[in-house]
Amino acid sequence: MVESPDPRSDEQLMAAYVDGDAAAFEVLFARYADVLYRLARRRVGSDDDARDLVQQTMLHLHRARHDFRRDSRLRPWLFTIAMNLVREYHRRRGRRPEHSVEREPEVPDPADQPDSARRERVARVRAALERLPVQQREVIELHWFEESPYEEIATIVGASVAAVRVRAHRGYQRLREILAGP
Amino acid sequence: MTSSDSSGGGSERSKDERALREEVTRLVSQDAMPAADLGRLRAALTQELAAERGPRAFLRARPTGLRVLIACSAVLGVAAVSGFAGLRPDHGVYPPGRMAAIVLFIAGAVAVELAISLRPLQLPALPRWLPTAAMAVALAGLFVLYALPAAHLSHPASLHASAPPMLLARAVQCLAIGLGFGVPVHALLRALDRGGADRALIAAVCAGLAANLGLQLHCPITAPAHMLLGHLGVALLLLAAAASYRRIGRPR
Repeated sequence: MVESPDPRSDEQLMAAYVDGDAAAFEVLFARYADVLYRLARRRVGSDDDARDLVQQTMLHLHRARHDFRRDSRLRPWLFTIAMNLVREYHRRRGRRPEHSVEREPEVPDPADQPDSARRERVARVRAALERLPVQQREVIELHWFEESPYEEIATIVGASVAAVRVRAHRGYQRLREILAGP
Repeated sequence: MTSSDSSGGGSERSKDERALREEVTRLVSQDAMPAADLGRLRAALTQELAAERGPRAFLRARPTGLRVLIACSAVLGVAAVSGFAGLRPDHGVYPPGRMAAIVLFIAGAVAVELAISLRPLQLPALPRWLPTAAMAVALAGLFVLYALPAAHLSHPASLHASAPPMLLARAVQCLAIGLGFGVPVHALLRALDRGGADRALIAAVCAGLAANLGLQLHCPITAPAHMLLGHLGVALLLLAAAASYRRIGRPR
């Protein structure tokens, strides 16, 4: 268990792990588990499935460790693995990702219980995101929620930066239309 | 805010987009994993990592270039065993252009199937239709090449299975030899695979193609019915077996 923040970069940690430092992997897990969970939770049907995807993502990172080039960046790697696993999850379920899954009813936090209007707004936004074409949704989610720059998203989704910008803009326009609708 | 946001300048649209982004992000940013779940997840992952032992774990953790090299070596090994240990007796009269067309087609298809089946997950996903299309093109291409009129009828060994009484017996022999080539290659490809949807099917087609390469270099029978039944049948059997296994259970 790692308690204090490790000053090493993701890439230094990964290089250390490849060289046999098992603790470095735990630091990476602590650094990314929650980010990956949020990424997965927005796209799959349950908390359990999201946790399973985080576990699989880290397991695949372990399996791919000898592919890691020391001059490459780790974060796009992890996100690409996670996104690919999310796609496979939906493929196995036989559903299209953009119309992914019914979310479980949300359990409100007692310390900050949202009022019904707010909950309705959240549900509306989530439903709007699910209605976006998957290519636009991926870009919107990575750019808006994970603050990934377009260059990184282009690496993750395997498209040009220009194409990613176009998807982001179209996604934004579509989202605005959906949210403005009845 | 990321640096790429500045591309929009200070336009009205950019402001509007930023406002929508902030609102949507605020509304959606409520998914956080409870600390207890994080601990459980860490424990489960530690168990999974501890279970990554043995030859299969070793093989799939090799760098992708090496995994591809190992797989290519296995396919070339099939060709070498078949070609050098039991080269078809009619090779002197078999049209070289036809032989080259079949061998090159199989080699190209194997290369494509290998690239798909061993593609690591840290690379962007291929288009969803591509693996299915690659399998379909490989099998359809073989079907067309095998369904062409017999390459020649000028060697006695090539005439053994043109009539129905011998057709099935000879085809079963080739199926057995082909499975002898294909099953080990499939097992190796699965061992090299790090996991992913449809990989078992692509590996099955790839192993079936490798077996067809071996049979093409070994079996002198040129009758289209034999080629379709005894040679292409190997790839179809492997594909059917992989599909059935996948339906029964999908190991991670």
